[in-house]
Amino acid sequence: MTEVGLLELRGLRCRFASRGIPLIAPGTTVHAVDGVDLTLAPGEILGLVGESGCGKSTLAKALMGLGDYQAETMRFAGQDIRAPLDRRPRDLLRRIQYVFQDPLDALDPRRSVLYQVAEPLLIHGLASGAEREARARAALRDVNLGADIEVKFPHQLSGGQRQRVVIARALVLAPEVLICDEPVSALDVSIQAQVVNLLRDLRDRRGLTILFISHDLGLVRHLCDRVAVMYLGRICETGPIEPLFERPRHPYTQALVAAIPPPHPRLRKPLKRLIGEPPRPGSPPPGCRFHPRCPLCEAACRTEPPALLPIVGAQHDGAQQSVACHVARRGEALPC
Amino acid sequence: MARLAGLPLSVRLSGVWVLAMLAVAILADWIAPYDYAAIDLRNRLTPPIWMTGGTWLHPLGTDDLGRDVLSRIIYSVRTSLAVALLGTIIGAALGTSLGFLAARFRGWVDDLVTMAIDFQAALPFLILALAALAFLGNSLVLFVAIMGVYGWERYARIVRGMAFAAQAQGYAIALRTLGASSARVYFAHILPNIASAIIVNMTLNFPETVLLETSLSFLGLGIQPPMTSLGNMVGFGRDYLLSAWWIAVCPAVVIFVTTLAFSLLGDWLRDYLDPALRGS
Repeated sequence: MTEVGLLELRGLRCRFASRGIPLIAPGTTVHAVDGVDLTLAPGEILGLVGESGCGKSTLAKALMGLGDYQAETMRFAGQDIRAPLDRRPRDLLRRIQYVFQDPLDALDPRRSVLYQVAEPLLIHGLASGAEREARARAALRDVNLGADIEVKFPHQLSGGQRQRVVIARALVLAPEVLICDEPVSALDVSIQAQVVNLLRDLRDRRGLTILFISHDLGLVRHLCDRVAVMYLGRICETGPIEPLFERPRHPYTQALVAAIPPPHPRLRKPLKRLIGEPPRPGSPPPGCRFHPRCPLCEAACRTEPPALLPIVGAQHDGAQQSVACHVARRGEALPC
Repeated sequence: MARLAGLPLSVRLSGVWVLAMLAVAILADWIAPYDYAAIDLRNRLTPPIWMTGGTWLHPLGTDDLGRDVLSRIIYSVRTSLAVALLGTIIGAALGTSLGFLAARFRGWVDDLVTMAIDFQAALPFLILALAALAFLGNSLVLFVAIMGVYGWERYARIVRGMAFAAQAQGYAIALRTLGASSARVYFAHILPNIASAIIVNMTLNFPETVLLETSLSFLGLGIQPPMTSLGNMVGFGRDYLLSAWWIAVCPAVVIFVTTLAFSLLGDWLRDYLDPALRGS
């Protein structure tokens, strides 16, 4: 993990504190993200996957300066960006953009599409009057939306159109990084493909760097260059897409990959189901966070948290596959 | 304008009435047959035209000093509407701003605003208004200011709650991540989204402000003679309710119809302003 990234994250911890009731219930602190390192290379699409509640969105929000977070390092193009949103330099707010999960929620219901896409330019004072509208129209064209939707309101659009409006609003500022927080999980499958293809197209044409958060491994495999698998606030495995999907090392990743529906029912393999529910983030298990559900659990797993370390010999075109698992690292439990 | 064709009759009538009242208020000097203070001692307590003894000189009759009730109503509409509208607008602006402040800064600012809301809500406002008018002396500016302070806490409570909810919504967070200033987020985006609630509250507050003006004028601390207002007319007409009911009833009917019309219009406006209800 020595590559120089456009976006670098070391030791990110995100807290949720509940106040409790004095004398009756003590306040509790939950670390939804507990020590995460991530690096995004320029022009890369990194997939961040994991089940609901594992901290994916919290991590994405922390990158935007939202929420209660701490990090050893949070750098963008070499610049320290640990400051919360309100204290970030305006230029930074232009260069990193966020695409929300629910586009209907992310758009003001009472403003027209054109107004909302042009608004970021107004906010940043980047263009005036007619030029602002022209650039907003260009952004809408970039996401394959026609001129007929300019005067419409969000509730008059389809789900896919809305999400493309949200993406257009982010693109109008010509950002370098796009953080997409489950951008397609609220959309129909047919529309998902449109949006995913659009994101890939944007990367190819503009060299946009994208953090793509999803719980759909099929989509991630289709779109991303690299993937990081998250479980209960930590990254358990990361690596380039194809090798990682071909040969997942972490038992959690193995279970996730095995759960991807095959393209044909005859190709279906017996499912290795995970037993049990993920533990509550408020009281994570000691040692490896996955150990209560892990089929390979050993004594060391119960006490010692495994570090995310590169797998020797698992390097592909300069991208390293890394895993946080005692057993997998010893090379004893590589299945099949 | 095709939309206007589908308007319910009540809304159309309300619109016509409100427009008529606004016209009356603006054109009072030209349409009133007499000055509101003009006295006609030979025609005191004349009944309205449709009663025996009525005369076309005074279509709605005269009061105990022979002042023309119609002319006085015309001038009263001007005074009452101006005072109530100004008061309602001041109250809405004050309450909305304080609600936004509380939602934006939270912490002690929120505590302070909430405390002020509770304080205001617990206060018998009429007595506060009486005290202010008694100690500071009666002037139109002070009277309008009191009308403005009346009811601000309801706007503040509504706006604070809705702003708290709205600023947690995606669009407000999205605007912040885009670098929008608080003023932009609150006034250009959250305000239009909660405007319907404010407008509904204004339509509720408006008649109450008219009634407050009535009460204060009735108690002699509102609009002072020789100026006239609808409340002040009802107040003075009270003494003749049995013998010359028209002095009080005519302005009372105007109060009733006007406040009802404003409420109906406000209701319609709320639906009209909501794009989700408007239909595409």
